Amino acid sequence: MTNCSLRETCFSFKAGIRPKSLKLLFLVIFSIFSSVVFAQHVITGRVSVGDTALTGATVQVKGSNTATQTDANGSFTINAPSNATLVVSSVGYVTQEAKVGGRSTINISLQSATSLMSEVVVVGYGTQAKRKLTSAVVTVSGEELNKRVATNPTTLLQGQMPGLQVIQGSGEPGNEGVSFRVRGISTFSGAGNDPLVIIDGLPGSLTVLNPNDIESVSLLKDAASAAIYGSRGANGVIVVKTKKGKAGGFSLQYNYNLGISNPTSLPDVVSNSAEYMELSNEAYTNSGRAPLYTQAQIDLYRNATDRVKYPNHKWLNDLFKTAYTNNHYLNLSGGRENTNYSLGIGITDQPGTMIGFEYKKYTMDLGLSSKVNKRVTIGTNVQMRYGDRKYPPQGAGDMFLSTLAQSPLYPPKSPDGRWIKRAYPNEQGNKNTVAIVGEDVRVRSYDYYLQGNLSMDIEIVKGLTWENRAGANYDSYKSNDFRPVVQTYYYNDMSSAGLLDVGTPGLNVGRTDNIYTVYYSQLNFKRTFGDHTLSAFGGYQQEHNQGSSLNAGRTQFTTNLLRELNAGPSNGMTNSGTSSEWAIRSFYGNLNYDFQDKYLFGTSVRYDGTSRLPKDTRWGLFYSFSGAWRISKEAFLQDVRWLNDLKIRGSWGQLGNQNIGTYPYQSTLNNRDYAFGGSVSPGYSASTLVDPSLTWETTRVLDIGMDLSAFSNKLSITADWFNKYTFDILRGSQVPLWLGLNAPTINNGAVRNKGLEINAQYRDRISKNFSYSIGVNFQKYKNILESYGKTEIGNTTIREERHPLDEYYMYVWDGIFQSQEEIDKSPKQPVTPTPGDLKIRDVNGDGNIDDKDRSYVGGKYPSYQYAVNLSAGWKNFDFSAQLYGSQGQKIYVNGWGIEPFRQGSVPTTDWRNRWTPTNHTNTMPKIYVADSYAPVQNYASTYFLKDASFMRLKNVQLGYTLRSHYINKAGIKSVRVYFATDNVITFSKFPGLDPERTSDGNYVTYPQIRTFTFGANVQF
Amino acid sequence: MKFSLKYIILYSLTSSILFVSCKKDLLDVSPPDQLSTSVFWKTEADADLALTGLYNYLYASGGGYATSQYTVMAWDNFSDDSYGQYDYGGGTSALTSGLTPLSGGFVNSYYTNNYRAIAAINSFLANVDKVLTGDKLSVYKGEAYFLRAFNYFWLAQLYGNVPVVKADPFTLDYKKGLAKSERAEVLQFIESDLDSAIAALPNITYSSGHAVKGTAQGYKVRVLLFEKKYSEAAALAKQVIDDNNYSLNPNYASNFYKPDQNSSKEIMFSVKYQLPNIQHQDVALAVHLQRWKGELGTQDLINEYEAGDPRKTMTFFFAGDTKAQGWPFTGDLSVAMIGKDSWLNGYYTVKKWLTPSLTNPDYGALDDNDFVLLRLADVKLMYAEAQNEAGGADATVYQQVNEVRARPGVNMPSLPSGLSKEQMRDRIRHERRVEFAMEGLRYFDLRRWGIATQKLNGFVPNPLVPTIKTKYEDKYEFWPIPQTEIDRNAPVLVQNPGY
Repeated sequence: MTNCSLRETCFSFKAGIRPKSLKLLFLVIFSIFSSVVFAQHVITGRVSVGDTALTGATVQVKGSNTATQTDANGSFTINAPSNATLVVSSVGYVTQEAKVGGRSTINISLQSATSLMSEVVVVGYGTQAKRKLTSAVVTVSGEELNKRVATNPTTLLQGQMPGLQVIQGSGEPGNEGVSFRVRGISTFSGAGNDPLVIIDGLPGSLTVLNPNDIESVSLLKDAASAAIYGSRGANGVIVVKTKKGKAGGFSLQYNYNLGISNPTSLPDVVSNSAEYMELSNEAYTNSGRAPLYTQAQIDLYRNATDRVKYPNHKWLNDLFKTAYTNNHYLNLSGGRENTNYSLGIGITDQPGTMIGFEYKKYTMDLGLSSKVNKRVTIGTNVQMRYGDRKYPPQGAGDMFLSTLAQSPLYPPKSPDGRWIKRAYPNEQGNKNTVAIVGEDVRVRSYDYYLQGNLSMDIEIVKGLTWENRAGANYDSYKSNDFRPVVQTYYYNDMSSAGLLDVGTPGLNVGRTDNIYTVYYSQLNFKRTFGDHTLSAFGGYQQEHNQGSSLNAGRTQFTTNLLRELNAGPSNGMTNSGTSSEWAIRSFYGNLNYDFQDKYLFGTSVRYDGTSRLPKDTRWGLFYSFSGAWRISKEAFLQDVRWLNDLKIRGSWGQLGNQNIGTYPYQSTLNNRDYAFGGSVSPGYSASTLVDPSLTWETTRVLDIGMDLSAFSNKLSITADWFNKYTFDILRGSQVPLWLGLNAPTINNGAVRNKGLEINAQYRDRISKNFSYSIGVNFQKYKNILESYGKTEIGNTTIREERHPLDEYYMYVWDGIFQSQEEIDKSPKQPVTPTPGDLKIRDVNGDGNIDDKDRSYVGGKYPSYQYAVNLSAGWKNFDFSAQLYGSQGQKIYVNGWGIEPFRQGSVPTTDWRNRWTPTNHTNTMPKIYVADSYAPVQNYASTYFLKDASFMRLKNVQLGYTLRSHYINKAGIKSVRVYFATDNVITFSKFPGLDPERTSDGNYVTYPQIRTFTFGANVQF
Repeated sequence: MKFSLKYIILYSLTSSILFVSCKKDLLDVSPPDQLSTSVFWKTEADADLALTGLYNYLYASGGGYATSQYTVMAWDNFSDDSYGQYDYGGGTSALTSGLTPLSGGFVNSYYTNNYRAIAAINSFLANVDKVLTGDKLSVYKGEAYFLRAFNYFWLAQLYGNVPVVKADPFTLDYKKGLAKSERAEVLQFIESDLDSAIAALPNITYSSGHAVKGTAQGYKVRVLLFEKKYSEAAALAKQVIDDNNYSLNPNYASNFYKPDQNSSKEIMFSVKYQLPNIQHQDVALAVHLQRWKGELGTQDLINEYEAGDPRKTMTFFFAGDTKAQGWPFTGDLSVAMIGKDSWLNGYYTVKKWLTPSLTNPDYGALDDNDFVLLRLADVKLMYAEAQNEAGGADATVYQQVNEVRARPGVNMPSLPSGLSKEQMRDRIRHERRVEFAMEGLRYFDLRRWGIATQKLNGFVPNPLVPTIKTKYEDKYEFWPIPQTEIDRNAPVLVQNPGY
């Protein structure tokens, strides 16, 4: 393992400070905060929750680092000045302050933080008391999220928020391919289904963050909550708040963890060379092609004693390794005299479980807010990330499939250090992936990302504030992609086999920059008149984005050692570059009213103009209305003691989406050069139609929900039913091919999603030593393409009105032909089969298999998804676990790894049970060469459609918190050590690999990883 | 409330951001690297830009890796001349799995390619008279007519009769489907475009890449022959030959590589490439032909060469070849050996199209050899074929075939006298096969002669593996129209028979 996370080179690169001076800096900061001296005074007391003593609560003197913790009886003793304020906090409870006021005994009772009465959730352009919500919003705290350990915060949202589907496509470090879907797939347009992500009030990136810097995440899933984001809210909004520090002295926290990762599952492949060669010959013969190996060659391998010359090489062992991830996180936070701050610094060193992949991530998060005077508060949040990635240019999928395409007949490298292409020249194959990594054929990418904002809030008069926020996201991405010249050899005679397939040798360097600026200014008003409470805000926002790219390349380098442009010849050099921009301008407003906290109404409106649409149609109005009735406040329920809160709410509204292309309505010319007479002449042609009346894609959402809490708030249930209808979908029109033009982007088509989300949670403290909670969430959607135009049939899917969008549509596999007689009396197959080939069902019974026999097949979307979150605490131990499952979806996969001998790829061991004239199985065809073997590959059939339902124990974590006088004396508040396992165990019928994947297609993708994490968290 | 100066400054600064940032044109953006169509067709230079744009469609990509539609040698994988071990162009799978409306890339992409070019040409013809007049206008239009005929002829050869679109695509109502035009109408349209081109184009030797009169005439001969209008074809071919703008290249091989191609008086039309900016798709020819052996000559083709025909060794490598025979590899590959380095036993590595100066071509090797689409030898043999069909094996037929055979460096003896029409037909078919091997004409010749099923169905590409045979059905004479096109033009557009 390479651990350079704290080594000089890595750190100084980011911070520009050497570790020595860094330590010094910490010392200085430390001493500033600890050296303040007060007139001391001994205070004793007890902290409780209701009647129960609370153990381990932190009692701190506000504005200092003097702190202690309550003992098993909930008692504490602390020295504090007589005019001080004590801050009492404990995980899961609302932090409370108590003025000492000369007292020497102070008893404090804490309130559970999850109480609906006091909980405040972050929503669009502000916060709202949870009890006053009239919309469908779900929130998760940073603490809850960080019960799992992951380097990318997006993956942590999985199973935490009903309504949000999170699929992690890959375990590739720094490129996890996480897809978010809020309430299903609502459009087929290029505008996409990705929700808007808001970081600290402004659009930003979630992956940039260090998970430890997150304070809370809210998901706005209905129209009422998202309408305030108007044109960008149609796919839901994820609102993230990062830490800004809390009042109560200086605290320093250090987390370290070591993750040990391996792929969750890998295919089990044949690695005996003689067996491989025999299977290969059988497959070639079955496929009507000449066998590759002679009997003499097979015998050579079977009988060899020299296993160096005639190996049974296991290539997958070369491709995968145990990866050790190191995570360091340091947080300094606190607050005094109206100023709160939080500074988080994270360093992650994450090598891949697949060779060649490395990712190092450095993050910094600074949150600062200061009340400069009675009326003015200023603040800032800045997140920086520097990501340093190395990866093979062809990507993880290709690395995997290329490795499978290596036969066991040869090792990657000969004993004398030469790279091997194949054993024999007539073998099929792909690139030697070990050589790719060994020769460092890897892209180096450097990503500098900064997102930050400044805010100024001014209280004009009581109840009326003026809020201003300006932010910028800057992303600079550089890549250096050098392809060396590497010789390869045939293993049988070590003759030259040409160059390693790295593409065209040479260097390409690229740089893309993106700068996004945003500004809003709004007035907030809040006032209570007797039984009436009114709050409102209105504002103006504008956003502008400019991206640019620059690329340059040279080829014919005379050396593999230098990988900069100037090291290559200028003859034949190439370059390219461009830029693009878009902008949005918006007016928005929101009004909330309630009567006696019992009848609640809300409305939001947003008027957006976008540069992406033509002048006459670019402005769109989006709005929502919502209402709620807190039945539990009614007199007739006052006697129902077990019921704490019951609310029924409903909302309706419409949202927009315009995120398609940057200039979709503008008619432009394409550059089309031609090499006339020895030189290149510039040329142009117009080849795209445009629709000058293009307008917004619109989503309408109706949501009906219920929130309930009961039994002293131990039980809470939230349920939502929704009907989401997206229409005027922005899409490429269906133009006939004879038109010869690219289709215009038009508004056409509609998709409806209906669904149900339920979240139930029960938490209790059984004794002073034992508490636990169980949370269950469940979601279910149904997707229908309501309007589309002419049905379009893809290779495996269909877009047809009144069917799910992209529903599977293919031939139905009906077993294996056992004999020629069976073939003769069966319906005529599209290609002439032989015994052992796939049998396709004659669905329409006309005796002939043709395109009319393709059928709708369910499974494109999960029937339902669920998660169970458990946690428990016993004395100083804490435990949490998450079970996550998805039921009913299928995945169409083919190619290397699941089909034999694609480019020579090794068959999996289940091919030992293939159909043969003597083994008349009905589940597996005879073995074939999957390079266009027509009787299996010529038509998409359900043979390749695999059940990808799964249930997995996603995470288990066990922690122990050490609190003792010994460590306190050393200036340490607490130490928590923990052990966690991610992707512990998975139950699925999906063959060989992990069922969690984002798309159909090639069977092999970068595998998901199982990680064992050991960590410690030290609070100073 | 106390408003000190510093707060007034603070508030007004904050407010001013609002107004400063409210630029009027914030939402009016346009692509900074693409010309708007609204500024086009204003000056004479725009005609040049647009005309160049039309030729660019000759780079249209093909049905797979390492090929464009006009990577001519890949088309021989569809025939009995070569075997594509990596299925370049789609020929291998077409011969093993057959053709369906949903077949791999090539069925769809060739159809799409031609219509995209046609759309650009139609748009050009609708606009060019806004900026040009006189002779220049007529020459430019002539080139466009030629290219339109060229593209429709590809469609006619592959898909049979197809919808004929003549108008500016930007003015068309594409929402209603189009039916196929009658076959006669498609061919008539091609002929009339070629006639317009012949009338307008200069009668000079082809060189720069722009079509000239001879190019259009040569293509018209091809079309007439396709239509079996033999006398017309013969008459036109004779005219081209008699014009003397072209002559057989005394060095057969140098028609196929740079820079010799630039001065070949034999080439009448080609797709032009130019290093470093305009290279072949994906990899150099030398990499996909000689290094990877992506197209290998069949034994059947090798057997076709008469004893002593030097075109055999000018077109293929044989075991034991070394630098003396032009074998480009050195080191442990310095002697050509079957079974080594992807050379499949039973086939022959291609030599044609190899630039002789290249050694050890591999990833990163560059070449810019032009793809030759029409050369004088073709016109001469087309003359012979047409004349023989029209009037039998007369002296002029002999003359044209013999001249091709007697090219310096080839020096094959004259045909024996007294051949019957049928014997002469066989001789001409033989001559075309060996003269144009690996030039992508064979597949179309077989179809035109009506013998594709006979030759290709059951054909054994590798005599060492006699059990493996290719498939070809009569219905492939017309490829299937892509399913998408059928769906989008339903119900008026009907699929070709048999699919």
